[in-house]
Amino acid sequence: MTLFTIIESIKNRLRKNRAIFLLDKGQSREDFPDEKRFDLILSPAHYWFKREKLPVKYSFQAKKYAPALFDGYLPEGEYSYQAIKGEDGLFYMFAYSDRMILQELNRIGVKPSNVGKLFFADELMKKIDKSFSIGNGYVLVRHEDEWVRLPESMAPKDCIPITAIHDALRNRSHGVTLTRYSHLIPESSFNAIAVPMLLFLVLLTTEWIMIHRQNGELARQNSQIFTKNGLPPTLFQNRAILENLKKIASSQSQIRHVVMCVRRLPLQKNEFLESFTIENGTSAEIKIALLGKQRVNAIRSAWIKNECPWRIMAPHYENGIMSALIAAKGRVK
Amino acid sequence: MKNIHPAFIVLAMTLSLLLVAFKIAEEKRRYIILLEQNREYQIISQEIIDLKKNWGNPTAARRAIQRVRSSSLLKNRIKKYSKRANKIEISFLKLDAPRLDFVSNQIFNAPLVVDTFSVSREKNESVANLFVKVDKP
Repeated sequence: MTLFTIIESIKNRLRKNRAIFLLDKGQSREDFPDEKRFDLILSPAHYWFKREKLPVKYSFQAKKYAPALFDGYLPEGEYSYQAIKGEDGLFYMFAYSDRMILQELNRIGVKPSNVGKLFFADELMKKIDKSFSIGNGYVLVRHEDEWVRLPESMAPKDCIPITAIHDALRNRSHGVTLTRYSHLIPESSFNAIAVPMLLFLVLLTTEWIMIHRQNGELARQNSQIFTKNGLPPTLFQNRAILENLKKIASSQSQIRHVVMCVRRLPLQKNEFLESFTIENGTSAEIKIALLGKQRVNAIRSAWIKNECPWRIMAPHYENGIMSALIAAKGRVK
Repeated sequence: MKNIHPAFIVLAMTLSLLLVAFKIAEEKRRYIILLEQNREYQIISQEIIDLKKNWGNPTAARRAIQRVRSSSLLKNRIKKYSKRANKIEISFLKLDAPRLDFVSNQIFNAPLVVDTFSVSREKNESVANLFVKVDKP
């Protein structure tokens, strides 16, 4: 069972329990007890009716023929149409004026918002074979398969009250909805606004769904980038790994550069490297045997010329040996 | 539908349009963020892979240590070789200039993470002692 059929069955059940009243000409507020919501049976005074054999199969196809069928038959004005397929294969064609029904309801003092569905007496009561009283001195009489409103004085003897047919009305169907706002804006103008808006809404919604799906796919890809490369799954872990590797790379490159600088020192004959120690990869100590104190500056100049990443700091010369600390700027306190 | 005021229908549609437009803008913002995230993740992954090739390649590092240990040039010159939990220490004795060059070239040309490198000249001799401590590959 689809959701649509479930909703329809619930609506039908509610509708069967809903009160139903006859809307005829000349009624008053007393004929409509205070009900929150009720259906109306339109008496033949409120619609035009034809039975036709049409070359179509379904009611919605027959409905398209209705304006042509009633053309020249109805007074000037706007009308709504309904087509119902009968058991005999004929189509019951109805024409009614929403505006006239609204005017009648306003005259009586009934709120149109309280009205649920409208039913046509001819369709709804086709299985009822007795005439019945509708109050206000009138009766509905079946005459050649059509219901006719007659004064009580012309009523047949077997006329029954309307309450006697309530059970027959419980299983009602083929109702129409009263168009309450057609006088505010013509349907064609409303469609001219609503249809493009609806299309635009559908387009935008489609775009939204597509971008949403694309984002989902992209998020899934993002979550797999690290694991695909054999790395830990989180960005936090990978950032830490990258930082550590960068730190190692930088420090090791500097060490190799410093060693290269030491090997390129312009030592003269009888000058030699006494000791050189790099510890923890952050700083180094160097001792060089030099021929004189004036050679210290030559060594420093050569060091700078080689663009070493670490600097010679606080060199001192004692007993023919230059001792110095080599470290990156700011590393040594 | 026929019982609903047309203004309500137009209002509801306008609100729906605004809501969907807002959602689209939000998704587009998220798309840009995800795209940037994707680029960032790719760059980080590539950088880690490249750096690991240089500084985290255990095979190349082990091979360099093995070359030093098994070199005929350094026969009887390795005083001590010790493996700790995460460090390897090697002490060399009385290395002349060519041997010292060989060892330092092997160590500094390999992707070894050097922690300590200490050269000291033996008194009154043209040979040096060397102590190297590297991270265990």
